[in-house]
Amino acid sequence: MDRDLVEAARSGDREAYADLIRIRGDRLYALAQRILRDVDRADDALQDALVIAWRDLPGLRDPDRFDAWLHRLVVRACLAEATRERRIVAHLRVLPVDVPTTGDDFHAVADRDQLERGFRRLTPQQRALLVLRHFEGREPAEIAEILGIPVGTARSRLHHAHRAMRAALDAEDRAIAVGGRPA
Amino acid sequence: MTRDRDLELTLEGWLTDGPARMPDHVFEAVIDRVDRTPQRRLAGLATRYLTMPSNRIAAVAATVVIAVIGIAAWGAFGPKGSTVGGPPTPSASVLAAAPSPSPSPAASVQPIADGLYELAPMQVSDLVATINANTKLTAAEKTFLIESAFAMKGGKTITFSLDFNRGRFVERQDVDGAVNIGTQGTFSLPDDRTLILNEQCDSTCPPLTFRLSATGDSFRLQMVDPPTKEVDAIPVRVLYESGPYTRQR
Repeated sequence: MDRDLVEAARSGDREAYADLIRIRGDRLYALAQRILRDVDRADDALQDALVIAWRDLPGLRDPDRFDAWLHRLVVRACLAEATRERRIVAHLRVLPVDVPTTGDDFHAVADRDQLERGFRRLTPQQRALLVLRHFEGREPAEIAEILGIPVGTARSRLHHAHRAMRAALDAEDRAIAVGGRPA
Repeated sequence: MTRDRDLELTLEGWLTDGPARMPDHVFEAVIDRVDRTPQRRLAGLATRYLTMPSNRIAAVAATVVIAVIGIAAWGAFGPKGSTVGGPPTPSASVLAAAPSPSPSPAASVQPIADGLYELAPMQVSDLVATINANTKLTAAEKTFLIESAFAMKGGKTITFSLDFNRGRFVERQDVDGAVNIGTQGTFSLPDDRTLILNEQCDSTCPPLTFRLSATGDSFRLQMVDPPTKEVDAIPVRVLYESGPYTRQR
C-alpha cells in the first residue's frame, strides 16, 4: 500500500522511495514536460524535485498528503527552472510523442505548431495552471493546494491564463494572416 | 462561452500529445542522487508553523506592526525629539520590543561565537516514553515523531547539535553514531539576547526567533511565540529549549 511505502521512505528506506518514484514517475515526468516544453529542462526539474522530496520527506507529517506535496515540489521546480536563463535555442530538442496521433494532416500539424508557440508566450505560472487543469484534470481547489494559494486566487489566475492563451492564439492568427512567422 | 469551451477542448487534446514515460536515465540519476543525499529530520518546522490559524497569524502580525510603530514613535518623539509635554510613555510591549536608544558597547559583542554546540546526550528510551505518554498526541503523531522527525526508533542515545559558522547554521542529530541533518539555514544575532534562525526550505519560511541567554561557552534558547500544536511544539522543546547547548569546538 502506498501509505506504507511513504512511511517507510519517510523513515529513511531508499528502496521504498524508489518504488514510490517508479509508481509516479511517468505522470510527474509528463507534467514537467508539458509545463516546460523542453526535454532537458524537464529532466532537470524532475530530478531536482524528487531529490528535494527525498531530503524533506521526514518533515511530511501526513503520508496521505504525499501526492499533493510531491506535485507541489515538481511544479515549483518547473517554475524555478523556467525562470533560469534561457538556453540557446539550438539546444532545444523536439518533444517526442509516445502515442501516435490520428488525422495528423497538414492542418493538424499547423494547429499544433500554433498552439505550441502560443503556449510558449505564456508565463511559466500560467502554463502550470493550464497543464494542471487541462492535462491533469484538476479542480481549482486541488490546483490551489498544489500551488499553495487560496482557491479564489487559483480560479482568478486560471481565468487570466485562459485569456492569455486566447490572446496568444489570436496574435498567432494575426501573424499568419499577414504572412509572417512569429518568433 | 462556446469559444471558451472550444479553447479548453483544444488545450486538452493538444496537451495529451507528448511524452508519457519517464526515461530510465532520469530515474537512475534520481536514485544516484538520493543515495548521496541525507534526509533532513526536523526540516520544515517553520513551514509547518505556517499552518497556525489565520487569526493567530493576524495577532502576530499586529504585534509586529505595533512594535514597529512604537519604535518609530520612540525615535521621533523620544527623549531627544520631544520638546512639548514630555516624551510619550510607550507600552510595556513596545518597550520590550524596541531596541535601546543608546545601545551599550556590550551589545555589539557576538553572544555566540562560531562553533559546534551540543546538548547533553539523551536516552532514547526516556524520550520515547515521554512522547508515548503525551495524551495530546495521536498515535500517528507519536509514530511520526519517533520514527521520522527524530529517527530514533531502536536507538539508545540521541545527541543534538547546532553548528554555527559564518552566518550559517546546521542542526544535526546523532543516534548511536548515525548522524542526520535536521535542518539548516542562516542565522542572525540582532542583539545579545536574540537568535533568529532562517530555515532553508523550498518556499518562504518565517524566521524562528528565540530569546537567548548566553553564559561563557554555553547558551540556552526559548522560542518566542512557539507553535501551539503539540506535535510541532515537541521538537521545539526537545531540540531548542532543553539546553544548555555547550560548545565542543
